[in-house]
Amino acid sequence: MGFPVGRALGWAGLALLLVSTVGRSFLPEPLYVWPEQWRIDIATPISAAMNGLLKETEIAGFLVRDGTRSFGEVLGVPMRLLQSLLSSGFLIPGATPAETLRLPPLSWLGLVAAAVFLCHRLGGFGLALLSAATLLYCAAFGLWAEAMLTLASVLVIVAVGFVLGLALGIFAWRSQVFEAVASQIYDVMQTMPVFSYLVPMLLLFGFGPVAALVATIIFALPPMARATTLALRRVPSEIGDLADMAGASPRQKLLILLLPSAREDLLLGVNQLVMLSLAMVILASMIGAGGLGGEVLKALQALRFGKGLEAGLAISLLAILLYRICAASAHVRPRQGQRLFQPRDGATVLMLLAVPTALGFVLPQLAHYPDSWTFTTNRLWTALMDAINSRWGDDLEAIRVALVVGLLQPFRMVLLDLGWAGLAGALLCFGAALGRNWLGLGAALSVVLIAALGYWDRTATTLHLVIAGSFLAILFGLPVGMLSASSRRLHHVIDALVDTLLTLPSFVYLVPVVMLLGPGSVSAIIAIAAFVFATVVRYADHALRNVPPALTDAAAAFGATPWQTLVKFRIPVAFPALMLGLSQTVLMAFGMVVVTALVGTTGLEQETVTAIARVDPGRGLVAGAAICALAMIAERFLTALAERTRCG
Amino acid sequence: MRTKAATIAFALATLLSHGPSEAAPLAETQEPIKLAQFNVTDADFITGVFGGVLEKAGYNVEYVKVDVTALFTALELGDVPMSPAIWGSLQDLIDKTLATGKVEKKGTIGVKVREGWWYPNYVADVCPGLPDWTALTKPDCIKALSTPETGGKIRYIGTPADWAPFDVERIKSLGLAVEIVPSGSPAAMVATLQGAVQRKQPIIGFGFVPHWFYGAGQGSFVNFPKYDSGCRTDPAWGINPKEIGDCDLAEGEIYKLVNIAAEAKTPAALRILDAYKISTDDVAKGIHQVEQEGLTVDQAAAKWLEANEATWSAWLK
Repeated sequence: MGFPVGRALGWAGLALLLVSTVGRSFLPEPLYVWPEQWRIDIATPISAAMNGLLKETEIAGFLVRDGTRSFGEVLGVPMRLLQSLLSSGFLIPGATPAETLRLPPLSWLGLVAAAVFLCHRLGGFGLALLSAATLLYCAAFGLWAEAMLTLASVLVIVAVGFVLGLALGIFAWRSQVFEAVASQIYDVMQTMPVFSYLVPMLLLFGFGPVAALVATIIFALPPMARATTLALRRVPSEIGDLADMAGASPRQKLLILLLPSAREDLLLGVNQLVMLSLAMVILASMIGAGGLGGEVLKALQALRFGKGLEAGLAISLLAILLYRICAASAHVRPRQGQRLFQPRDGATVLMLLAVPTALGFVLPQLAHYPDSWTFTTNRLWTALMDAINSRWGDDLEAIRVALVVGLLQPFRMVLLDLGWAGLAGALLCFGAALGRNWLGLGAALSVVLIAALGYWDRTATTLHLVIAGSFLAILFGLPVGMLSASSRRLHHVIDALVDTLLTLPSFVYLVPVVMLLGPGSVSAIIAIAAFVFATVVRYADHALRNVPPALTDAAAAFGATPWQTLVKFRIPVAFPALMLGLSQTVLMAFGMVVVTALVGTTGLEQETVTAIARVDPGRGLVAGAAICALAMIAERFLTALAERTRCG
Repeated sequence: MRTKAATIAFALATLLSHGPSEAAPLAETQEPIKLAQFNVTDADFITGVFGGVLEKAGYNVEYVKVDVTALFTALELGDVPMSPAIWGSLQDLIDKTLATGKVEKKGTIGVKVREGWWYPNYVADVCPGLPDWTALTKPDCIKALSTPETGGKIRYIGTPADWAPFDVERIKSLGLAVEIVPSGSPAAMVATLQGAVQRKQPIIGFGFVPHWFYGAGQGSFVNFPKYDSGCRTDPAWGINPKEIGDCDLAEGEIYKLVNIAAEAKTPAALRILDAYKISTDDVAKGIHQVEQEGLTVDQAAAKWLEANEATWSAWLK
């Protein structure tokens, strides 16, 4: 497609949108609101089918459900073992209460000591300090048992996810067809709101950690698999040639040479796996996983912001610690002829674990961290929130109302007035303009289908939240990203902040915001913006950092000021990467919009949450699929635009 | 060395899933009975007391943290064999679960639940006539309780989407000028009202007792026409002859539900469940101890058991 034609089509699309919006009063109404009598309902048959499948279907005389449950039991054994070891102790039922054996878990002191020792061997003093700080934080704030429970779950999830992701990534690397198919499936797995498949998981795998494990794996696996494929592709071909020349078998080549060479990129996948698993912790606690997620929920139900924040920060700290441990493992350079961990290290760890645990039978403070040694900052935070509310509450409420009436409601009206027909037509034009006809067609058809389901009204609501949230995030995130790219010291500080924001459960800051601003769109947009802000900063920083220094040197040699260098050199060169960042940002915003249903929004996301409560899997899946489709359309268009700016 | 450790570990793991079950003092088995707690203080307290009594009877109890709606699925499938803390307001879900034939209702625990439109006491100053519902029809009151975004109607903080307060029917049939603002989740609902109460801002929203916030004495419920079964089905009933729903919510109960298949495994536990009764005042006291005095649910439950030994020992006979 020639460039001038593409441009013309682009303008045609925009014109179509404009005509559609402005012309609502004299164009036929069905183009804006799908007529009720022609609406299709696929949610009900899906619900019926799912309930049938999950509760009654038999294959070879066995209920599908029993099959998956047995599989879940098997998967659950290592998980329950780890949980009992670290957190809850063992209960071995005997015939009478007297014969019932109760064993305590491993002593907290022993675990801290062992962790510090291992981290010191792996990553030196810095890592050891981080591990000590994290674990003692959990203990001191009365969160030890829950933190260990969460840790046990996450360790199993990461282990399973790593192996599975690696395997899938290797298959995709070997076979183009598999990769193409898998890529589509990964997109769905990543954008499908978790709420939609939470209840089916429960039905299939029963209560407790296993259902949460499977739900988390579905969500967290795709980045690992994708990273593996990418990593293997980026290994220089010379290494592969070396393996062939040395006569290695394909398996040896893969395991001994290729995968280790790809460590850096694999690490990115592991990082995502860890982060996403911990992000799921709260949702997992809703189906019985307990742990820190449950603590956050419990605290926030009672409006104990301080305790919620403490538990949320514990999740963040654990995430950062686990990631740093993985990074240290990847970067380890073993000394010549010596393995990293000697047998005597194993013995030391065992002793560090066993001695305090044994002593724990005599000194109960070692077995269970005593409550008297814990403290909480809850009162401080509650007092702070009360002070802010009393002093500025009325003003904030006035600002909120002004924003809603003056900005958000009109914006939503404009989106509503776009009309499904106008939007579908425009997407067709944009697709053709970018040279991606199939994308345009698919996008247009999706919009038509969503309207036919009667969801256009809700779609406008969801879209206005996502767009406003993304805009706010970019407004604040871009300058911070630029700041971070310009200074090494600032980069470290901002990086830590970004890590915390990405792993802190958003509910922790959402509930205080709702107390000040009430439920609805403003609180929702703040929530989306806060989460997406971190993504924007990270991508902007990465994009600007990767501008070749030779370019900035050349600019300086020509006498450009820092501002001119930034605006005329760095930003244009970083533009494609920034556009890519934008597409990921929008994807994240769609992911976050589902959580906003918990603060009273009324778009598609509300349907997914209502569906869980009504145990109506069809409704949740259909609404979830609609959000999924919108997210994928936005992401694909922006990525295509990014590629265009790179070439053109 | 490694295989030996693995074998021991595996043996321990298998022991965890199977236990011998022979006759014992009162408890038939030492396998832990799973009871659900859903991070809602009143329900957790009720469940905590029940669990405490089971432990006195010689059972082992394991508390599973779940979401309320997931609990119904768990009851159907037998993952959680019984629950003494099911609010009657979840009528739809209760009916659906009972319809599967796998779950049975075993009566109420004796706690009266009041749900409805809640307002902080200072709102009575701007809406004279409260708690009578007709006060909400006066123009001054409507103006005081509205905000610019609700376009001249009262701003009412509604329930999460899956609850069934019948607000839409009530507003329509009684001709109220009210705009429902959905709250999304119970935490958000309470947070909004708490924030407004702190600022002394006029507000009205959904509430229920026993609850730590609504039951703290700082507000009251609006009195709509008293509920009668005819209200939901017969338009002719009530003030508006053409519409249904022109009444308040029924005074609710808290029910006990049990999985039928699980009943057979622990008949003694079931007898205790049948006998289990607790008063609204006791529950309110328990909530106060947890929320205001900072006790944990377990500690508050233990206090109740200490104070009411005569009551619960009768259930063990």
